[in-house]
Amino acid sequence: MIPPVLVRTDVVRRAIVLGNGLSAATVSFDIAAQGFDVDLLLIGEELVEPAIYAFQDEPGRQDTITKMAIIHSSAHIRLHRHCEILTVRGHAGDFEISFNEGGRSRCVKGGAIVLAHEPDLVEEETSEASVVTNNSLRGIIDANGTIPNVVVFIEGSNGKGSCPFQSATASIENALAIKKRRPETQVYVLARDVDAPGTFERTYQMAQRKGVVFVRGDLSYRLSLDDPGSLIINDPVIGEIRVRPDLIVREATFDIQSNSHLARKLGLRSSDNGMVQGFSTRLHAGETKREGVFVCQGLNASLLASDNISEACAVASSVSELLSRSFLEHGAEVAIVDKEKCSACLACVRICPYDAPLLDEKGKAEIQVAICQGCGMCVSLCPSKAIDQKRWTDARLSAEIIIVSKGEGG
Amino acid sequence: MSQIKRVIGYCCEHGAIGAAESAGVERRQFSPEVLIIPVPCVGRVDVLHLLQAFREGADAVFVAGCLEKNCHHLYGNIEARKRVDQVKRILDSLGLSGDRLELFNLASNQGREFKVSVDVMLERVERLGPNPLGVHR
Amino acid sequence: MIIGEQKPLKEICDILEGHRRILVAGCRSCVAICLAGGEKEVGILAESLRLHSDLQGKSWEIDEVTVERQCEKEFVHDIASRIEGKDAVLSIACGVGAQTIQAMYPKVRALPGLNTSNMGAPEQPGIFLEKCGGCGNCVLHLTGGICPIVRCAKSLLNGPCGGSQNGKCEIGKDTPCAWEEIYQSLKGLGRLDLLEANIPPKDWTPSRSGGPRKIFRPEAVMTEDEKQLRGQR
Repeated sequence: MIPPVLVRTDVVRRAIVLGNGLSAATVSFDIAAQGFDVDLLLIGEELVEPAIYAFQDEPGRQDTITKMAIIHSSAHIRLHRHCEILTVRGHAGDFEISFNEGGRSRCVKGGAIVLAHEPDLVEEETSEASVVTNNSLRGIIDANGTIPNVVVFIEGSNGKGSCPFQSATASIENALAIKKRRPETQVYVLARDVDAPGTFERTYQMAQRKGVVFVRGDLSYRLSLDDPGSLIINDPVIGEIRVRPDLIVREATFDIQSNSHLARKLGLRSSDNGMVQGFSTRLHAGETKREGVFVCQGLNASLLASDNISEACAVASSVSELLSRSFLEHGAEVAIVDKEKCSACLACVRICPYDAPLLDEKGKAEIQVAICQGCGMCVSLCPSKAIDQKRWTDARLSAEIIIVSKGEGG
Repeated sequence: MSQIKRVIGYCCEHGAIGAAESAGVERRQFSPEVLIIPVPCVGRVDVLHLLQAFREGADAVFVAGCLEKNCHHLYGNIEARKRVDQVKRILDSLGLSGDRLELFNLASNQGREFKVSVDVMLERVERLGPNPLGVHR
Repeated sequence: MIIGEQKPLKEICDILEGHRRILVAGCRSCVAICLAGGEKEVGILAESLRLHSDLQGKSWEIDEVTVERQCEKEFVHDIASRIEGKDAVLSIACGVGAQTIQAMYPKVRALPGLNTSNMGAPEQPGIFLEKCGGCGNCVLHLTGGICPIVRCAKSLLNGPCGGSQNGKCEIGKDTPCAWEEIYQSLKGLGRLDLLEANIPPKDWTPSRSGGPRKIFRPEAVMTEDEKQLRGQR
């Protein structure tokens, strides 16, 4: 019988944060407050408040901005500027990141890595003057610009980098601002669903009371063919409404490249719109499929600064929990090489998504227990059948075929 | 004496088992002739296992992994695609028809698509007839 | 290393006709690495043959074994118990392995399941390229480390033919012209002067054309006295 736990490793009591904005500042401060030192790797010169939050006044945001300003004087947070990540090696409890810091190569170690990179907006050059983003609309409103007669907010952006999370909050804020400035303007907000969390519920109610029309559902509108410039809106209750919008407001495009790039370096998947796959914030804050690697702004990312700040606090808590353990245990479903059979062909080394196999001093393959994530690809690939996987052994899978084939059914 | 239909499905722990569970939660019934074997990732499925399944009498076999480009382990589903193609060629050489084996890509919330995949394999069995090595009762 | 490819399954089944108790024998050496005849391939081929047998009602008995190196007598000797009772051994090692088995077990037919192809190297996982022609008289020092015997389709020794177009061989647009590669390599080494030397017409005696080659390492050959003293132990 092979024991379930093969290896225990120590935990390096430091965290490495890759980030640029509010989340990075919050998570670094909170982890440091728990007694763990932090290496904060910035892409640019300083932490920057991303433009996506530019027009929201929320509790917590101002404090965080203050933190960003004083972070370089914290004794427990070591800032690195102009960082370009080269490689990420190791496993939970013992990671090593090598990177270029303004041209010099550096290396840091940590027990946990946090990806806290907030995407930037890409301002689109739109050919039509009558289509704007929520951010530019805010600029128009703040500058006392002219408000037209009919404004329609549509979910989704023109570009490829649109984010999945609701822009409804930004739209509602702008819709309410328009109604306050010019009550006679007709305002429609088209969204699959209206997500107005926390105190934002009040803003939503106010907008409705001021006469903003919310139309929900999939594909709630289409362009009119017989009357160019017209939209036909499908309200599930009222039915069809025809409007001639003077202004259409869409989401901005997000720059997802840097996020996807960092995610790949960390061995994480990101979706087509650049969001890194994480688990539910409410259950396992910031955890990803790779133990020890955490992400702020995962699938549950939001355009509200307060949401992201709270999430960062929760992630800091998860990270601190990991860093405070005396040891980590590994080995439950790992692949193991029988060196007698190994042909040193390198197939496993070349296929492993986690770089778990290494060659020992005799040239035979060995799979690092703490790094193996138990996918089994090397097992089915090995030309010499030198690798088997704990729990998912060849013998077991073959036996299962026989058992299910002989059974009576169901 | 009638032949029991057998469809074996290798489902990965992440995408496909989730899809099967979603199907269950959504009360999408599929026949008891379909039996699921879980694997940590479809990249674990060996050519040998697929051949064994047919030798043991399976009328059809499917391998279900995560959506393309969304494999939990990056590219286990692409490895599985290559293995499935290899076995299809062997089955064709042996006169058993490579159509008895298929690879599906599913996300964990795709209960409906899971049932559709199962139905596709059952339809193939109808069309191609039972495996000559099948179990008789 | 030696690169080979399994014969098509249909051809293997035809070759096995008339036999019933069959041992599929692989090797952990070169053929394992080029993914043609290692233990995994043995398992897959054996299962495919069993499936064929079941479907065609042949009652074949298929056994499997993988040898450390099928060209070495000692390792092939170790599988004697597995060969006993068989009427054929289907070897998916290289041609050397198949012949070694036949030589050591003259009463049991050794059949090839592999087409041994060439001496080459893995370019990328799953892709193997011929590199060395085994001509017995290596001129790599004159050609910047690129073999003109096999990497040039015509085995030319003093530059490309007229068919060399844009660095590609006339046999196909994916095949690089070896002499273009040789030129680039020598240029990178700063030794274009080596192209000035004329390589004379090749003496093919040390190659395959001179009959089966036998190479001696006198310092390792056991003398008659040694053999006798050893036999007396």
